[in-house]
Amino acid sequence: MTKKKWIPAVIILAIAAVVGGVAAASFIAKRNFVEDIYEGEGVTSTFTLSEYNENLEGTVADATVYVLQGEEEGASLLVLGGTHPNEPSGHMAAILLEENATVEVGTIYVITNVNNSAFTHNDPLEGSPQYINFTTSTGETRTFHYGSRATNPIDQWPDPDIYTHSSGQTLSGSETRNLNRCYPGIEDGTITEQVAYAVTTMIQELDITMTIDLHESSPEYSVNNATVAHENAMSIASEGVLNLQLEGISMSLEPSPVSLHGLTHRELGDFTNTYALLMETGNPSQGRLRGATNEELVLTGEDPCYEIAYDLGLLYVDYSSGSLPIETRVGRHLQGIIEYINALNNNSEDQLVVTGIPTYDELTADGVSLGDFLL
Amino acid sequence: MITYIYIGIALIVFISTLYNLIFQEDKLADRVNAAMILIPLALRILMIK
Repeated sequence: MTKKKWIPAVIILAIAAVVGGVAAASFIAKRNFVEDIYEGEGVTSTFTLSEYNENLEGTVADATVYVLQGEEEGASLLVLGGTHPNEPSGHMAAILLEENATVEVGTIYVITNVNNSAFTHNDPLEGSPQYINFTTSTGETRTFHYGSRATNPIDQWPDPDIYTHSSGQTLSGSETRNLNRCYPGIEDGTITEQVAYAVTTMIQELDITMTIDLHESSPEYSVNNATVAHENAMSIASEGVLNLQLEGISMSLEPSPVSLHGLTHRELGDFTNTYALLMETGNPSQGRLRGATNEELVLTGEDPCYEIAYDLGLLYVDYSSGSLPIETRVGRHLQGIIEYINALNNNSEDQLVVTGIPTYDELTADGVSLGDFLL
Repeated sequence: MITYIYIGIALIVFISTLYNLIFQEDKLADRVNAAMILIPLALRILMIK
């Protein structure tokens, strides 16, 4: 063994260690970053998901549930944000709801980070930003995670070759870490199944009237600007969709496929009494035809590649303006929540009376940014 | 059990790659390639539970 062979190897290993160390520092910071989610004036209490599955206690997956309870009893609503943390408008809509809304009659439960483990990493090979930032009306910069579609492998590993759902349905092995394929959940299953079990049990025990799961999908995907509803929720969903369309907000209505298991709009409707709805809006940072992936794309949706794709008729969202800002996407979600609450009230003896939810028109007004609605 | 099997396989890969880096590879690109495998693999062996 000559000195000639050792020295280059040591030098190369040292350089690789520096490169690896810089990357590792970034990943560790991401893993440990805690978002500052402020409690709005309407929040009356909080608890965590381990209330409904003690296996989650002390884990990163033990997400916070924000309770906005009115002085009078009435109907209840659960809003799920962050099922897929690479779909930021769901996460941000839940945060804006929790920070701005006040409930007068009934109760709203908001989970802003329902798959909290998935916020602590990014999907490999996507080039995603790790964080997104907003400037509030007071000039403060608030930083939030941009995460992954699935639970962090640090928390759940290894993936099976084939994921067999409790219904017997088989999917690709990596889907075992997709929370929206794990409902109704298993109390002592994988950590993702444990989260799903906690949410399902919470809905059952609190007898939550309606559940809305907030998502985004790539502009190339056909189920876009849509609400997917369990058959039990179709009358409420139909009325809400009609009112959204009358307000100039395009929204299609899709029935929840009976044979596709694990999703909120299927399993929560089958296993609880809740009206189960799932909303989709476009996500410019998620599709295959997108250009450079960075924070600006997430926040503004400005992408010359998508402009070309739109002109070629390849997209299912309106990209005629050349952008799809997060204010538009969050506005769609919040206006949808408003309309589905109105539809629920028209179809139920128990009422849910809420004020302060930012509307689509308020969020998409000229000169307004999402940060203006953050505390 | 699977964890021990994985650690064993990872150690075999680590040792063989280190041997190649020091004694076998002549081209710079191949040495860099080996080094970029070794660093995260070392972290994985040390951190796996």
